[in-house]
Amino acid sequence: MSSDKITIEYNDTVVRYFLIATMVWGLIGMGVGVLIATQLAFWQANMETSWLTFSRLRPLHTNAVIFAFVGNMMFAGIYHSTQRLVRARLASNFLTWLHFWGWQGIIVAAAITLPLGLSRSKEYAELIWPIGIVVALIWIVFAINFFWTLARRHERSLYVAIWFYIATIVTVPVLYIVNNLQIPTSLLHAYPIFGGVQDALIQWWYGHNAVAFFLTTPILGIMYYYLPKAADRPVYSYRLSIVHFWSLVFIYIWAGPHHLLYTGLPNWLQSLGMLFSVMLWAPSWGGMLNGLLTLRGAWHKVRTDPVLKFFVAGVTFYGMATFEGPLLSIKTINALSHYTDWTIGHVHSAALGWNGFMTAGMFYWLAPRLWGTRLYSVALANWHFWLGLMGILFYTAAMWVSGITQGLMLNATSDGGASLAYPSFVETLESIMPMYYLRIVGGGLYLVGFFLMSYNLWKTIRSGEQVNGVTEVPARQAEENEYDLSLGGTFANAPVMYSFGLMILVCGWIFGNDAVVFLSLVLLVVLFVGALIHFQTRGHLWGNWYERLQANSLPFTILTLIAILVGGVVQIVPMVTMNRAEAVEGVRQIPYTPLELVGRDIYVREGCYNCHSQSIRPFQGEVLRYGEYSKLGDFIYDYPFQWGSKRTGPDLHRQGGKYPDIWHFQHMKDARSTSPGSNMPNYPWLYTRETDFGVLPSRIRAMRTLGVPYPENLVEESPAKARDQAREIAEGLRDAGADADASTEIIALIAYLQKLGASENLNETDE
Amino acid sequence: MLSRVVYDNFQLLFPMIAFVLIAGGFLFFLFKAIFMRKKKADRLSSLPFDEKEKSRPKKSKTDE
Repeated sequence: MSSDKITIEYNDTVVRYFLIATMVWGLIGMGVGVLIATQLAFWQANMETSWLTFSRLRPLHTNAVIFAFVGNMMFAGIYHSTQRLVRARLASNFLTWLHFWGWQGIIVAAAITLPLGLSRSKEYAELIWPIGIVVALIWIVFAINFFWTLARRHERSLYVAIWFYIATIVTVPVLYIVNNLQIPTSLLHAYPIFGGVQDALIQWWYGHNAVAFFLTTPILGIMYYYLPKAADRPVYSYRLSIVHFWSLVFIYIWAGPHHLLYTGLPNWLQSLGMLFSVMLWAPSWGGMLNGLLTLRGAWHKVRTDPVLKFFVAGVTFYGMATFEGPLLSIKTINALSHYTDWTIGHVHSAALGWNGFMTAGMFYWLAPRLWGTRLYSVALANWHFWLGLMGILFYTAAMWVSGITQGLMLNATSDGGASLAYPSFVETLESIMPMYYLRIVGGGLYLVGFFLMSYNLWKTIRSGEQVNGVTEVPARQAEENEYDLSLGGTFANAPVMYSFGLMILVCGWIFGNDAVVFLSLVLLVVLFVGALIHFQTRGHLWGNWYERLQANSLPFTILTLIAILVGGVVQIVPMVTMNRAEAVEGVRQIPYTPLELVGRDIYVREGCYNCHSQSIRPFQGEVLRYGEYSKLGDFIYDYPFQWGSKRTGPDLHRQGGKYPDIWHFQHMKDARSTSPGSNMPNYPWLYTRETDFGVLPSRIRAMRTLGVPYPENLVEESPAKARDQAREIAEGLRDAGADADASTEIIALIAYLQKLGASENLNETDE
Repeated sequence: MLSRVVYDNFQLLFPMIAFVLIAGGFLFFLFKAIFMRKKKADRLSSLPFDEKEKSRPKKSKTDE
């Protein structure tokens, strides 16, 4: 080692661990996916076992694929590429391993709790509050380790991949923490602090941006590092990559409400979500083209190199999925697609094509380098590619056909809109059943391909030995550099202050009343002229603010954080500051009785929201099929909201009173006895498990804290009142010939189902 | 029948002002990215390529 150089050995061991964890959890997560796809086609595959039932396993599948499969892959890619891009070893071995084992512990905890029905029912955020806290803590460990590594770097400039990683690292905890704000009622249960439409907005602000900042931005960072490496040429346009980054950071966070079109969410928010989603077309396709054009002059390699093959297909799927996403967020198209399998097909083209194929490309490139050997079999990798590609095409094509078919059938009316063309929901289900079989084939092919990759990588690993990357870098210089930028200097400097002032005055000019408009216009001219004069005389001292910003991770991170926060705040603040007792559109929900509340918690535990929505859209077909369309006031006491996102079964919002108790009693025991042709699982355990009335006082107390108008004495009296109501329902069921026991969970669930849609009409009251 | 809730003025104004501010910031970054000097763009795009990197067998427990 020369005197002015030091040798760095990268920590590649943890990358190897994350790689292996990705493969293990990927097999499990996708295996569960094929199982639940089978359950949708063959209800018998639920095996009448609570922890093997579709509604409990579907959250396990989504969480395993997102957080276990893509999460571990992302950490492998970030740790491997960041060390090389900043020429520094990971800052702390302790934090690195705490991160790795902490994350695996979270996954194991999720794999145990979700099948047991310990769920918050918020999609991709189902984990109960103690695990949620650990997720946040481990993410902070990851963030400290990452930024500490950046602080020790030997490369001053931050490559664009690092920007994408920073956006991920700062945004995910913001989303996760806000969506996990809740009041615990026990170690395993809590109620979210937001309810009804507010909870829905928070959830899909989180849900959409989990897709953006967990499944997209880190993988884009990985694309910008590994694709040039695999193609052996720099990214096509570095400028375009920066435009890509800032566009996503500024736009993505606003688009969440497109998940709630035609619901009780205010119209301006729905339009906001739609418009920002459509805007995402441009940067997403810019990014895709930048990736594909990186292969200029190297396309011949794609024919023989499986790494590039996977990258090209992965980036193409990124383009296809990011075309389809905004398309589905356009209200007229969403009217057809929402709640159908079209959305499922869209999600899987992104997850399997973008995330899955980018993982494959990265690992086929990475594994031989991490174990100092050659890939065991290129032929097997090619087989993996074609099986996976066929699997995705079968899957997505089946879901498109299924979604459009069911969407059209469910909305179709006859007699000039007076009646439904297909009044039976099951009729629509039977017509799409062939597509469900095809989905199993598609998912199965993809899983076989993934298994081949696991085998190929395992043989590769066995044929080599663990090697770490080593490089020489110049020793760090202690003296100040012209590119240093303090935190204060980031904001308290002339160009930033002038820009901010000018934009505030522009707002006053555009949005103010007469006096404010005039004043703003005058001040705008004065400030603009002042800024020009200042720049002419002392502009040389303003000095490269933007260039310095790019080379300083802390100011850059804070600005990125501000950019994503603004997009969230503009949606959330107006919604949470509105008076929910007044903004009810003429109806106000009647609070649940204690028995109905505990029944609702059983509904949440069983994951009914996975197949049944509770939000009727203002369409003729839906009103005819399900009843009066849903309004804001219908949900003000719903903690958490249960709108769902997919209708494998019918909407339940106006289910209350539609059928007698005995119908529900028989339906939950054997859905086909009341609905021939249904694919709903049976829930026999609800008839033997006893309702836990003892939890009620703490839950009623939490509800009172959240603003539900329960009288204080109900806290202690709730178990007795719940038992009384259960006895009444059970007696009625026995009269109808059922063998009903008042202490069992089915009675509480029936009480809840019969309450659905019960609201008082304030307009009639006023009159 | 299908009317939705109308917000107070500040609730309409809030997202609009935020949008102008964020759009201003975005356009600034866009401008700076588009007009980045070629020399600098070329240097930054070459960062993933470190010709000096070598591999060596992992020593037992040294990086644990």
